[in-house]
Amino acid sequence: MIVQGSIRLSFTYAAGRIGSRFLVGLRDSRVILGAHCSRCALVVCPARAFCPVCSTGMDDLREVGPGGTVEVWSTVPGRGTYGMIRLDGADTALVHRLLGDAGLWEPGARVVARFAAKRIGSITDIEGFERGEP
Amino acid sequence: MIDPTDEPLSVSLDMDLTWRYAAGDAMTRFLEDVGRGRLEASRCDVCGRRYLPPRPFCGMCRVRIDGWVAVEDTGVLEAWTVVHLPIRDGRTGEMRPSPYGMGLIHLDGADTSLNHYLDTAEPERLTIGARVRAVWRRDRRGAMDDILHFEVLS
Repeated sequence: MIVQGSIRLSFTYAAGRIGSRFLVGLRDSRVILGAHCSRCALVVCPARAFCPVCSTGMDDLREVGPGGTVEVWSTVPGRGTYGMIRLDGADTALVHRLLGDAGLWEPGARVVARFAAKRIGSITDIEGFERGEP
Repeated sequence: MIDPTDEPLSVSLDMDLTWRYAAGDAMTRFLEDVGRGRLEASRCDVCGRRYLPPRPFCGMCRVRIDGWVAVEDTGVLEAWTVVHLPIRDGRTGEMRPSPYGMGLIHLDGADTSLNHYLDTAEPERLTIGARVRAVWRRDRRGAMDDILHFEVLS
């Protein structure tokens, strides 16, 4: 016998000061922001408040992308293809949807962000990344 | 630095966790019996411990359990609580109306306790040690919620 069910988890969290600026950038300016660490010079995208390497507080937000390079990718059956994309000017990768044919990606593929027409201040204001140059 | 022009945003997500698992030999037999309005515990041949819900192995003796023994649908309330925060029922995915009761019920003829819902029509009657009885659903399908809840006996 198979026992089955479904649980819906609804949750909300505060994006925070830097996370909010990142989302407002997507929504109002179609700009993707990374945070620059004044100590180790790392540029982290999505922007965050503390450097993941040296834990220094980060306040210096810089535009990165919209072009980038696919580092790794995976196709989820029925859900599409997701990749880790290192945007031009960033040192870390962003996880997002890869648009286009499933199964045809390779590490190093050049992609560019496609923004949604209706943007609400969410990571999905970027619909995904499609093959091409900015 | 906080910029007075900053607009604080939040991130909201709905995540659907769909789950399914194989009930296994013991639970399958148990649930099929529940569908017939009957409760049976698995009984260890070595120590005699009667497990309900049934277990295929004895946690005390570490031996396979093959024996079964009938258990009453009445028992003793060992612990209880009334939940006022409405949450989604993990079995159905629907919101469960609150308040509702939850209890650990030591069924007559078992040596372990069953976690199940309690009737809260008269919450003042919920006490540790109270005698309770299963209220069965009429349209049973071989699932734990074939028992709607347990009610306190007068």
